[in-house]
Amino acid sequence: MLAAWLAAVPAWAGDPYPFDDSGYLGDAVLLPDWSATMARQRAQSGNLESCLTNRERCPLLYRGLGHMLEKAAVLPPEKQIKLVNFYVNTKHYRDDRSARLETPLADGPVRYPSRWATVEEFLHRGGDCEDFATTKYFLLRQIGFDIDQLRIVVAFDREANNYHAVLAVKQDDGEVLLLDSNNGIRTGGRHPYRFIYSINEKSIWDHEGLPALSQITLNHEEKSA
Amino acid sequence: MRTLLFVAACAITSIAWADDPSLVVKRESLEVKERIQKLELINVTARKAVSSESGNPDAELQAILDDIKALEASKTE
Repeated sequence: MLAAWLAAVPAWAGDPYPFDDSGYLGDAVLLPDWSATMARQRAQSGNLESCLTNRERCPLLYRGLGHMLEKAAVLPPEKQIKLVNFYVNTKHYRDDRSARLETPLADGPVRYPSRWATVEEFLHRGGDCEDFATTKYFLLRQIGFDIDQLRIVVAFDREANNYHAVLAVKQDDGEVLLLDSNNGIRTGGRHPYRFIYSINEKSIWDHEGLPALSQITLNHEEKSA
Repeated sequence: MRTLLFVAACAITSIAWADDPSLVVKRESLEVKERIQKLELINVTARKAVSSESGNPDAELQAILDDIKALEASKTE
């Protein structure tokens, strides 16, 4: 009986990723490095567009990517997600360099240990786990996925015993997929992650601290409006 | 009587402050900022090697990935 129960329990089990507005913390612009990365991505997106409209003008760096996006355009969403996951995971892992940045949340510059990268920066020099997740995010956006379907999730990974980033994708049927840099795509509670926070182009969500604060703030704002 | 009036005034003032939404919002906003600062300082660096146990592309996706590999190899020649 016990053996049968143990066999049925996955190697890792956790709570399903809460792909809702619980833990809403604030606007994405409150994260200065992420905000700057989104601005750089917008500025660099012209290079990617030129690949899709004119292969001859496609920068060398983008040739493989242009082909991937062209093929992905005719695939069903489930295969688009898998293709982007496999494609990005073939790229080089490279540790971040920390940087001192100005932030609206502090009086002076703050040293950030992790930096976000654009697609072009990632293709050029590789990146670490949050750059893999960020690149998947931007590519799925390019393919046509909606902002509200995508979140970059920072978690503690019990498998890697380290902080990790994955991409959460909410499919049309409501199922949430978690795309990992080892090619794994997790669903439901079968994962090794303890979720900490998530971001997309619009918002930040906190999954472990201040669970009621934003709701209290929102309630007061609603009352005073 | 004076003492009673003083205590009553203090009680009314503290209740008014406690119910003032703008003060609560300011406190919450400060705590949200502190929390975001802490989140940004997390060093996110896990390295997980690609594993065939984690998933393999089907024939259609593998063909696309092979084409990409060939294109990317040609750009370095």
